[in-house]
Amino acid sequence: VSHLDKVALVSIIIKTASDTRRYFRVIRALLLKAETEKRKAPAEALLELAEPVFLVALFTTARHFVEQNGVMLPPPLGDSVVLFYATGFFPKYFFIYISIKRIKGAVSVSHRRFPIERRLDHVVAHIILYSIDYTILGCVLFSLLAAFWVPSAIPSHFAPIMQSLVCLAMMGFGWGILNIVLARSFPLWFYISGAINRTTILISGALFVPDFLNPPVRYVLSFNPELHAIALFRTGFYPYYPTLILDEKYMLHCSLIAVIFGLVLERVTRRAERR
Amino acid sequence: MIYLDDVSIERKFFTRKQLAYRQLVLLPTSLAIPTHRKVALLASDDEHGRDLILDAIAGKLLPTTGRIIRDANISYPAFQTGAFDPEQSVKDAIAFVARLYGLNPHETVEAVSHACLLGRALDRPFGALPIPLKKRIAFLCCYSIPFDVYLLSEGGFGSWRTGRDLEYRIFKARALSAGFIVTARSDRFVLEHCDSALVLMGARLYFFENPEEGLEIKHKFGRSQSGSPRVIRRKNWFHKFSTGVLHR
Repeated sequence: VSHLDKVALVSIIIKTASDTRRYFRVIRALLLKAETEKRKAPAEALLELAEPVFLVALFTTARHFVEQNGVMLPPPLGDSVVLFYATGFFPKYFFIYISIKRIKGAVSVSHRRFPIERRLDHVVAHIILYSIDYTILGCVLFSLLAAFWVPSAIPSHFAPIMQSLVCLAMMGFGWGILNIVLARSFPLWFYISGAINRTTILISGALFVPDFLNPPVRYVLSFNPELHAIALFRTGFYPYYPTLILDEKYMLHCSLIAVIFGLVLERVTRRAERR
Repeated sequence: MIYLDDVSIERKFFTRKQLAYRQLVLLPTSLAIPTHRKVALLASDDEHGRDLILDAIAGKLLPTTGRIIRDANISYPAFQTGAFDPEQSVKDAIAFVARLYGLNPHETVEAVSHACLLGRALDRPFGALPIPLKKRIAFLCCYSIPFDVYLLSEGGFGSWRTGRDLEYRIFKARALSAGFIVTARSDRFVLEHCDSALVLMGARLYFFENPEEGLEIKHKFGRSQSGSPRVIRRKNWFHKFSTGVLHR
C-alpha cells in the first residue's frame, strides 16, 4: 500500500464520519422540530387512535345487535371480541399511518427545505417519530382495555409484537415512498391510496382468523404480507393463536424487499422532484 | 472547488398557448468554480436562470443531467426565505437552522434577535413577519454559520451604495475570510466587490479571471445595457408568463 493510498483511505474515512455526523444532526433537528409541534397540540395524537377505536366499536356493536336477534355469534378467538378486533386494527393502522399520514406533508414540497435536508431524511424522521408515538398510544390503549374491559389485554410475549411492528414499519416505508412518487405526478393519488388502505383491511386478517378459512381462500390470502404481520402481532396476545399459515420468513423478506424498493424508487425519482 | 460535471438545468414556465413549456437555461457544462474567490454570477437581461444555477450549486435543486461535486461547505441562498416554516415561531425557526448546521441554538437565536431587534416578534409565527424582516433573518441565520462559500443575490441588499445597510456590512466583513458567489445586476457592485466572474451566455457558463472582462463580454452580447434597469409594463396579468422576466 503506497503512501497516496493511505492518504486516500484516511480522507474517505474522515469524509464518511463527517457525513454520518451531519446526517444524525439533520435527523435530530427534524425530530426536535416535530417535538415542538407536538408540544403545542399534545392531544392531537389521540386523534390517530380515533379511527381504529371507532371501527372496533362499530364491529362490536354490530355483533351485539346480531346476537340480540337470537343468532349465536361466538368471538372469532378467545373470550373477547373487543380484544380480537383491537389486535387486528392496531397494527393495520400503524401501517396505514406510517405510509401516508405525515409523509404527505413533509415531502411533497422540495423548495421548502434547506439544501442539507433531503427527502429521505424527512421520511426517516417521520417513521421514527411515528413509531414512538404509536407505541405509546398502543401501551395506553391496551392498558386501558386491560383495566376496564378485558383482563387478558396484557400481552404475554413482547418479542413477536415488536417483530411485527418493525416489519410493518419497513413495509410502510416502501409503500409510503411509492405513494409520494405517484402523488407527485398524480395529485389525487392520496385519495386512492386511502381507499386502497381501507379496503385491504378486509383481506389482511383483522376481522377473522385466517387459519379458520377454507384452504383455497387461505392459500390466496397468504400472499398478503400484512396478514402475516397481524397474525404475528396476535400471537403476542393469544398464546395458542393458530399459526398454520404464519410464515415469518416470508414476512421478513417482503419487508426487506419493500425497503429496497423504496430506497431505489426514491433514488431514481429524485431528479423528477423539481419545484 | 465546486465541480460541475456535465450539468444542465431546465426550467418550466407557462405561456398562453402551451401549458408547460420547458427551456434549458444551462446546456451541458463542465466547469470548476473556485471557492476561495469572490465570484459574480452575471447574465445579460435576456438570459434566464441565474437563480436556478445558484439553487443548483447550493443543492436545493437537482440538475436535469449531470452532477455537482461540492468540495466545500456551501451555504443555502442567503436571502431566500422559502425554506423557513411559516407556521413555526421565529425562535423555533432560527433554532432549527442552527441545529441543522450544528450550531448552538440558544446563542444563535440570541445573536440574530439582537441584530434584528426582534424582541417580542420572536414568538410570532415566521410567516406573519414582514418580508424585509424575513429576508434579514434568513440572511443572518446564513451568516451566523461559518461556511466556506456564501451564495447570495445583490437584490437582497437594501441601499448598499450608502454603506449603512446591516446585511451589506456583514457581507463585507465576512468577505475578508470566505468566498462568495453573488448574482449581480449592477456593474458597480461587481467592480467593487468581486475578483472574478461567471457569465451565463447563450445558456452556457464561462469563467473569467477578472470581472472587467466578464462585464465587457456580458455587455457585448447582451441585448440591453445593464446598470440601467429596464421596466417593462404589461397589458394583462398573463403577459407576465409569456416572455422574459419582469425587471425591477
